[in-house]
Amino acid sequence: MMENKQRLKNNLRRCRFEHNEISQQELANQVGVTRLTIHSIENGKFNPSVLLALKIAAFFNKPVEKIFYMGDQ
Amino acid sequence: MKRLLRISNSTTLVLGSVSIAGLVFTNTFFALLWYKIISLSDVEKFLDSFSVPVALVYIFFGIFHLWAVLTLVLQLYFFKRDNFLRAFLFFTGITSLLMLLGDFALANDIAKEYTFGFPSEFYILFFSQAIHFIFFILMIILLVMTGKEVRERDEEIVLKDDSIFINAQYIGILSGISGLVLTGVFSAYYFSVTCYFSGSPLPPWALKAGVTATSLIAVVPYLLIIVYWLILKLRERIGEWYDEKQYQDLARSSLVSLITSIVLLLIIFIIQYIFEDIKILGYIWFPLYFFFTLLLFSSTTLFFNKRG
Repeated sequence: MMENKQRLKNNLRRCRFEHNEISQQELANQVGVTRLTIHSIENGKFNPSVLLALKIAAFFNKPVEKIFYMGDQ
Repeated sequence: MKRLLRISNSTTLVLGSVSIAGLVFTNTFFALLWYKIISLSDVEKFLDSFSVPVALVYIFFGIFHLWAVLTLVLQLYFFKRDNFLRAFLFFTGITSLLMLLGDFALANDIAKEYTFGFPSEFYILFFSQAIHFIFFILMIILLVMTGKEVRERDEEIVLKDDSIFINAQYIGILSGISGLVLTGVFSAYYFSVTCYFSGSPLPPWALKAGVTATSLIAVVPYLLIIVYWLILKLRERIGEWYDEKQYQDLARSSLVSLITSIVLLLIIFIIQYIFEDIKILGYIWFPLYFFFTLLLFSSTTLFFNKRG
């Protein structure tokens, strides 16, 4: 059986940069989580729920797969 | 809010500076009292002359403590980033305030018992003075450090606040450590007196009273920060009290705490089972279990939350 070495990655930092360099706190306020949660998602330490990923994608007005994608570990 | 905090900061700074002078006065009084007791001087006359001024200084200390705690609560609300010094001061401030009441009882005991020999209450009294001193100095340092920020910075808009969550964990850690240390010290003292002075062992009520009083002092700051956190959270629905990462962190730390606390209780059970004569565990197992679990839960929650 092939070992699954893939993990969830994201372009959140770039999206924030492209979105008038919005701060982590501002993004957190928009999607209803804490700043540390956004920080952890950006660093790949925390995988958001589908709902939160969709909220983030909706905020940046992008398809969710443009922000979150599968990548090698 | 900002104006209120500025006024509160300035008032606390003034009260704190005067309180340090007051602390020098009370310590000089206690040191002289110590000297007069060991040199068998006229203690009665000395107490008559200084007891009212010392009581007035203590009332002033009480006002300063209440004002300082109010300032800390305002700071916790204004600054949306966690800060260990602020959490430490909240813990020390409440402890120091409770110990002011203890100082009255100790001073009263000393005034009654000095004729029977040197009162050991002096050691606790000077320990308490050290706690007051640490609180006064660190409070002034915090006010000086944050003064510029309060003047120049606007309040940050944070809809989901994580600073109170993290500050509560800091205070949980401090409560857990102090509870364990105080329970350990009392137990060791009781155990050593009972073993080495078997002719006049300490009565069990002394251990019960000591452990209960110090446990309460250690746990009150944690209870108060939880009450403050609950007041903030009452505006939200219960399902929104934490965000999804905080739920995950709490779930992990709860599991670690559950497993480890079962192991601790098992160890206590085995010790009691094998060494039936060690009755001391019957008095202290709950404080040990509670503070150990609180320390573990708060530290693991903080670790998981801060790790990313």
